[in-house]
Formats: sequence, C-alpha cells, structure tokens
Amino acid sequence: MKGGRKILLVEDNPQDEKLTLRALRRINIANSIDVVRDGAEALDYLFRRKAYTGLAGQPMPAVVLLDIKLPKMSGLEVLAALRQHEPTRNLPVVMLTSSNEDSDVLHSYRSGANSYVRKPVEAGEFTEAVARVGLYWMVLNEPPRD
Amino acid sequence: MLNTTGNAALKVTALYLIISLLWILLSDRAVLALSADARGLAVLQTLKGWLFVMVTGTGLYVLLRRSYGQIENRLRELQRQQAALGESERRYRSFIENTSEGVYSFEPEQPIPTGLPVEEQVRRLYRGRIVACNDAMARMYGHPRADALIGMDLKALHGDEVRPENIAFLSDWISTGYRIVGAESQEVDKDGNTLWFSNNVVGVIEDGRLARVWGTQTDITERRLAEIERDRVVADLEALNDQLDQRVRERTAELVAANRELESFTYAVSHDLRAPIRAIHGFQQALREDYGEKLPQGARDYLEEISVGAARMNALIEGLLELSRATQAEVQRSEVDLGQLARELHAQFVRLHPQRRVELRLGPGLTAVGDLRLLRTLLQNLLENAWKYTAGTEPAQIMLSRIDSAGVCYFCVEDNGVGFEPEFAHRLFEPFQRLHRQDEYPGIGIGLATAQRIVRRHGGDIAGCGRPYGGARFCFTLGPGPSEDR
Repeated sequence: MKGGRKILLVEDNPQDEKLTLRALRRINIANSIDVVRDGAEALDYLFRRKAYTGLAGQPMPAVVLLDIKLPKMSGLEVLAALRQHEPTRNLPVVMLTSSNEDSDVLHSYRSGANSYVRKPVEAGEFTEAVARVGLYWMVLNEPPRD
Repeated sequence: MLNTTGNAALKVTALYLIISLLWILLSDRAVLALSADARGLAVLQTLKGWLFVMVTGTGLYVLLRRSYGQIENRLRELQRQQAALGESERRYRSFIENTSEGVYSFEPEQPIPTGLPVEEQVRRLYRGRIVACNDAMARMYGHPRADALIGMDLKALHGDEVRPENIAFLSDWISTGYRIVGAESQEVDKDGNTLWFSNNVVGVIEDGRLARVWGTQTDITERRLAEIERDRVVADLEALNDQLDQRVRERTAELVAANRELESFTYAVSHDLRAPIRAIHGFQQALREDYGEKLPQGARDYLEEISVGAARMNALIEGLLELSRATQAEVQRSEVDLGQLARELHAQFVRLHPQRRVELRLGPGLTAVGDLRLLRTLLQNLLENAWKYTAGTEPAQIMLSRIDSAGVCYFCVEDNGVGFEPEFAHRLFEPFQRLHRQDEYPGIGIGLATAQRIVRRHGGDIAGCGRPYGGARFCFTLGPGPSEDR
C-alpha cells in the first residue's frame, strides 16, 4: 500500500457497493476503502468539509472510483469540481460505471478522468475488473505527492 | 381666290378705260380728217358710235362667257368634293359606331390651365362631362345608346367614388403630357358592377389649356376578374403551404422531442437496467464461491439457471441498445473497407470460440460508403449469424462478396449453414422474431432487425434467402453508390 492511502468509492447503489467491496476484499484491500453515496458527499469528503472536517491533514486517497450516475451531482460534475481545486487537481480518478455510451467516455476524459472502466454485468468479469483496478491503483501506481 | 378675281376685274376695267379714253381722244380727230361737211360728219359719227358699241359689246360677251364657264367648273368641282367628304364622314361614323372599343370626347367645364398642380387638374377633370361617344361606349356601362352617356360627368362614370387607382391613372396621363396608352381604370356600370378598362387617352391643348379629351377604352373586366381569381387561388395555395410548413415544423419538433426522450430512455436503460442484472449475477456468483461447498447439487443447479437467466436478460438489453443506436445515431458517411472489417470481426470470433473452424472468403471490390460504426455493427450481426448457424456444418464457410446488377451494388454475406425455411423469410427482420428454437441456436432475435435499420438509415435495403440445410444468404444495398454520393 502506498503510505496507508485509501480508495474512495463513490457509489449510490448498495448492491454494486457490496459487490465492489467483496471483490476488493478478495485481494485484501477492503479495509482501506471509504465509501460515499452521492456526488455532494464525495466533494465534502475530498475537500474536507462538513461531516469530513476531521479528515483534515490526512493524505488524499490513492484513487477515487467514481460512478457517473449519482444523486444530487453527477460523477462528471464531481470530476470537473475536483479538477478546479488545487488539492485535488492531480488526484487519480477512475470512472467506474455502467454506461458505455461514447459520449460519457469522451466527456469523462475531457473532464480529466485518468481512466474509464465499464462495470461488467457478468459476475466473474466484474470481480476481475474491480480487483485489477484496485491492484493497479493501490499497488502499482505512484500517486502524486500531496 | 377672291384677290385674283378682284385683280382680273380691275385689269379688264382699266383696259376698257384706256381704250375708251383713246377712242374719245382719237376717233373724233379721224372723223374730222375724213369729212368736212356736217352731213358726212353726222353719218361718220353714227358709224363710229355703232363700231364702238359693237367692239365693246363683243369684248363684254367674250369676257362674261369665260367667267361664267369658270364659275360653273368651280361649282361642279365643289359638288364633287362635298360628295366625297360626305362619303368619308359616313365611313368614319360607321367605323366609330361599329367598333367594339368605346370612343368618346370629353370636355372639362372650363379649359384647364396645364400649369396647375396635377391634383388640382384631376379635381377639375372629375367635373368634366362626356360630350360625344359611340354606342359601344354606352353599352359598356349598361346603357343601350350613346345619348344616355352624353352629359354624364367623370365622377358618375367612376362610381361616385374617388379610387386611388383612377387618380394614379389620371395623374400619370397628365404628367406624361396628356397622352397615355393602355392605362387601367376602375369604374362602375349603371347597376353598380365594377368594371376595368384599358384606356388610350389624348388631351387637346389650346393656348396652354386642356380644352378637350379624346379617348378610346376596352373592357378588360373579364381578364381582371380572372387575374383576381388567380391571385386568390395563389394566395390560398400559399396559405395552405404555410399551414403545411407550420404543421411540418410542429411535427418535426414533436419528433425531435420524442427522439430526445428515446435517447434519455436509452441512456437510463443502459445504466439502470444493467445494475440489477449485475447484482443478480454477482450475488449468485458470491453465493457459489463463498458458500459453494455447503450447498447441495440441486441448489447449485438453480444458481446456474439464475446465471443463465441474467445473462439472457443482459443480452436482450444489449440488443435493444444496439437497435436503438442503429436508429438514433447520425450517419456519417466515409469510405469503408468491408473486407477489412469482416477480417477483424472474424478474428474476434475466432478468439471467442477457439474450438470452431470457420473459413472466411472475401470477394473483390468490397469498398462501401457508409458510417463506419454502423457498418461494423451490420457486419457483426450478419457474420455472427453466419458463424452461429454453421455450427453443425463441416467445413463451415462464410463468404462476403459484391454483386453489381442493373446499376445497383449489392453486398452479400453467404454461409453454408443450417439455413431457414423461405416462407418465413419476411419475419426475419422483425425484432424478437426467431426461426430457430432457443435450445438449438440461442439468440434474442434482434440482430437482423438492427441490420435492417442500419441499411435503411443508409437509404438501402436488405433481403435474405435460404432453404432448410441449404445455407443462407443476406444481400444488402447502401443507397446511392460511391459515385453519386459525392
């Protein structure tokens, strides 16, 4: 693990959340995951405000797994907000979503996503994909220094 | 003529005076020289008197005779001329009376000075009257004979109403030097019906004043009414056209709105329907992996059925999305090498089904013009079918070729697989229609529907032919060929 950094999962569907956590548990990185359930909460978490002021001083997550379709603020809006703030400008963000619309892929990269992964429907593939994403960003990738 | 006659009379009289004076002066001397006695003198005097009377009488006779002859000739000449004049006038009168054009003479109350402002001249003209006209003119206004019109003022002829088009006509006539040809006026007959005339009008100017007006006019009411009717029809057509345009705009707006709705529906489907299937699939898998040893075989079989159901549901959603994309996507045409696409797709199938041996053959001239992404989906669906339905054939063959017939370019995908019964061929392209049982050849029946939409979006069409166990062939066109397309 990179200096005890965490994964932030932004996911409003509890079933997808459970499946994602299970997949990450199988590669033993489940206990370093924080979960928020909508776009506004994701920004509170990352900007260390409201319920998350207590996180001030802690390192940024190693990666944010961001769903596109979220309540209140869409994943794309969250991404745009992150790229406008200095502390989160270089934060690795992976869009992890059900949509495979070309326009969503294009918008994500234009808004500064580091990666775009479509959640596979087939269970084996889904576990595999989440595990790979987790391993890559938590183990292989060197995140920017805070 | 009078002068010459006077001169001639003066000359004759003067000559008579001179000859008479000379006679008086000279004749007595001649008589005196011829005879000295009184008797002889008296006889000579008498003879001289006789001679004078005879000479002057003869001269007078000659002169009078000549003059009367001349007068008689002149009179005869005059009578002849008068007869010719009468004939000519009769001819003109009959011409004027029998022509179909209205001919008239018109006079203002007082001669109108041409220096007055045009509006004032027009105002005065309206008080002028018809002084002469032909019967044709009177009949135009519904009167049998010319006398009915004579004395009528211009205002009455124009329907006691000053119409702007008549003011314009009179003003034009004045400003073009009281001479106009083919000018239009709008008037009324005695029953109040509106009439249109084409006018030729000439003004007679005497000492800088308009003394009288000569004119002819032709009734063009029928033509004008036809024009008015035509204008009305054209206006009606234009209004109808506008209405249609408006309706098309409304329908288009509705269609755009419906399309947008469909798009957002597609988006929602692609995102929201996948999540529950993923959950069904995922938890089924988790149950099997995490608690598999504790489950009896029967329970594990049921889990398998859940998995198959979820996979099929997923395939249906993907198929629907594909179909929707084929309908929604904008067609961006470019040159596409169908042969190259087929090779790529074939390689992909080979990777997915390494146990199958299927030969792909490509004919020449497989460059088409169309939307790359849609054509890829089209070929994928056709090749996938060919691949699937040759599962029981050995050796399996798929052929993509081009056939040019009657100026139309067809691309054909042909296989030597299980084929189908031709009487059901028309149902092939309906969504969710299948000609094979699920346990023989699994599928959702959306591929050919998608293929048909794609070729139709390109302005082409697709048809399939086959026979049981005799292979299948699907041929499609892509609308205007490469040459006409650009």
